[in-house]
Amino acid sequence: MIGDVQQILRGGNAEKNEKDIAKTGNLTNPSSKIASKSLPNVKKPEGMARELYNLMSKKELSSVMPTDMRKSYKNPKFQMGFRNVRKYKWVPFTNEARLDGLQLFHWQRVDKMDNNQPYPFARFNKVIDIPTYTDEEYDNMLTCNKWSREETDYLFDVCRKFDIRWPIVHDRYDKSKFGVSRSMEDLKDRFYSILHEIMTSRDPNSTPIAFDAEHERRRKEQLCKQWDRTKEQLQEEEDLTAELKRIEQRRKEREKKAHDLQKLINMSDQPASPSTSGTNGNNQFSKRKGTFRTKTGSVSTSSTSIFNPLDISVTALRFSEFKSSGAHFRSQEMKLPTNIGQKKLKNIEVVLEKCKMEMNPIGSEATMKIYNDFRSQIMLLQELKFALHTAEFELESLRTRLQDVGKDIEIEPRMRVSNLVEGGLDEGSIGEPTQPQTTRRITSYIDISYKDITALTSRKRKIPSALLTPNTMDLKRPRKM
Amino acid sequence: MGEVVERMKKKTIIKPIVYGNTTTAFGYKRESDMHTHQWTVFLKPYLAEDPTKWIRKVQFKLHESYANPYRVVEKPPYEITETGWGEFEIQIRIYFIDPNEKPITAFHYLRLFQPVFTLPNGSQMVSAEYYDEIIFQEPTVQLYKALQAGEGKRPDKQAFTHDIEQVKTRTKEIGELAQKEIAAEIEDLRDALKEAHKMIVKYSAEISELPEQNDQQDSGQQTPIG
Repeated sequence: MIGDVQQILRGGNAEKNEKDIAKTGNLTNPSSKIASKSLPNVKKPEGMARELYNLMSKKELSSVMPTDMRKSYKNPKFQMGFRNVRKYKWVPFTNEARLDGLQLFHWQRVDKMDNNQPYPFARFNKVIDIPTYTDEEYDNMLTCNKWSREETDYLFDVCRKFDIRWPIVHDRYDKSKFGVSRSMEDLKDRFYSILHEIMTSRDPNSTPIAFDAEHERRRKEQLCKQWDRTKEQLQEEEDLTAELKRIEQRRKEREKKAHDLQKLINMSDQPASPSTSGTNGNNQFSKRKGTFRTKTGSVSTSSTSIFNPLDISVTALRFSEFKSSGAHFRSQEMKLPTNIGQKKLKNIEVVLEKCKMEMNPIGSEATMKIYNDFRSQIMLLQELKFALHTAEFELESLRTRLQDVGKDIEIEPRMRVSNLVEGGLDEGSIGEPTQPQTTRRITSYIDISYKDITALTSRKRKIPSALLTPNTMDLKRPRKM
Repeated sequence: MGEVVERMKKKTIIKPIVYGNTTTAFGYKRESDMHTHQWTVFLKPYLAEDPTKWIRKVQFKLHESYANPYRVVEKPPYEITETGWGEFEIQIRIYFIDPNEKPITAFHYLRLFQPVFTLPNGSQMVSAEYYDEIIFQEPTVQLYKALQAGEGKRPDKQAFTHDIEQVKTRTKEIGELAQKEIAAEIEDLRDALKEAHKMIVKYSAEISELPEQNDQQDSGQQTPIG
């Protein structure tokens, strides 16, 4: 404590000392202690870079302080000319643009005084030729019950005076003179309509002059309104625009999805192509190859309702074909494609398990066919479930919108898969036309909450991902699957 | 090397085989190496025939913890008997008579605990048998002849603990049943989807016929979603 006080006291002393020294001008050789104390008091010299100053801040300033400051303040910024100064004279001049003959003076170079050139700025005085009307013309064409002859004359006077610079004309127009207040549009309207009448009567071929006062008034009103918008209004407008954009986008998405849905339906509707079942070993592979080819990519529009599982199977899963010569195991033909994805694999596993089937069945030909088809069917079912799920939500959203206009629609129970309980439906809730036709037991085991569900097929079948990957925006309510 | 191998065009020959393992438990843990089971991994032709006509050798690759894990068997029975305490995957590579035909490899996961099988004499053993078929596509001429020479037409039932024909039938039946079920569900969903789609088209058109309403409804509907 006492030490601190002492330090403070000594500090005070030191400052005093420093001041004394400064007075005596002994700055060049102060004691180091005093120097360090005095540092914060030294100001950064004018024109010195801050970086440089910072470098010195911890050191003894006096030795590095620049002493020669001439360059920064003694050098004049301008270059003095060496020629003699030209002589100017204060002389009167005539401005040709003036009609009142006012005599003004200006400075003029002596050596240019002789030539009798007109005042150079006079040419900028453009005079607009405003036609005048005769009494006869006025009485015949220009009478107007809103404007007296006197006021019309006055208007033309003011216009001539200010060269139809309307803001000035309007400003200078003496409203009290005739007891009526005239807006700029009123003035313009009267002026231009008269001009138009005069011009067309004198020369029918002249370009007609038209002034739409009403339009002009509305335009200005609109501008005022736009200018006067409050911050909240601006914000609201922005929000609404964004909203509109969103709505547009959603509408497009909906259309696209409906389109895709149609495509998918058509695809599963495709007419049956020759199935491989029943063909025996020797030509099986060429036949199989054939089915692959007919299937890939083609989207039929026919709506034959014969369902051929194999036909769809090839669209969903592609098993190894073993076309080249050599030996292989039958079981290898059943190997699932390696690029199938974990989630699909999981679905297959679950369904196989629930159907009491094996993940690695024995390698007989019949088993191979059944299993390959079955697993492809699982993939198709998965796709259908997903599509139906999307459709269900689509319907749900349509219903909400229709309900808003006072119309209700019924979504049939069979169109719902989102609330399908695991293990399928009761026998009692199936069979009616609007109800599911099956218990949907297998469907219930299929999990469609995954994003990559159709990663494999979409590439091959060109089903746009929009249909297959759920967009969170579309889901009106949280899904639990 | 550049020798052209002549193959039987458009010919395919199928040879069914069975591979698997049988296991008997010691009933105790052997002190010397902690082994608890004795097992035999095997590969047999499914049909009663002489496999040496077309198989040159079979190589079993055991777990690397075994002394010389690659075991080669050149004549039937193609099997390896060992003892151990754990299950692992055994690689079974079949080499054919004609070295121009590439060997093929099967993988068998050695079973020590199940499936348990009760023998006619009442004793129990673990027996895993897996039926598979080797498909020779356009085999070499030499191999083709050898394969044809195999006289086996009938399953060698005595060779296996399981009734493989029955397994085949059962697998097929279960599969067909499941196929039927899934086909019906596919049909069901597809029909529902079709109808749903018709509805969507219909009501979408209806909504778009009220353009002003549409916009309002849209924006009204947006709000709850945020």
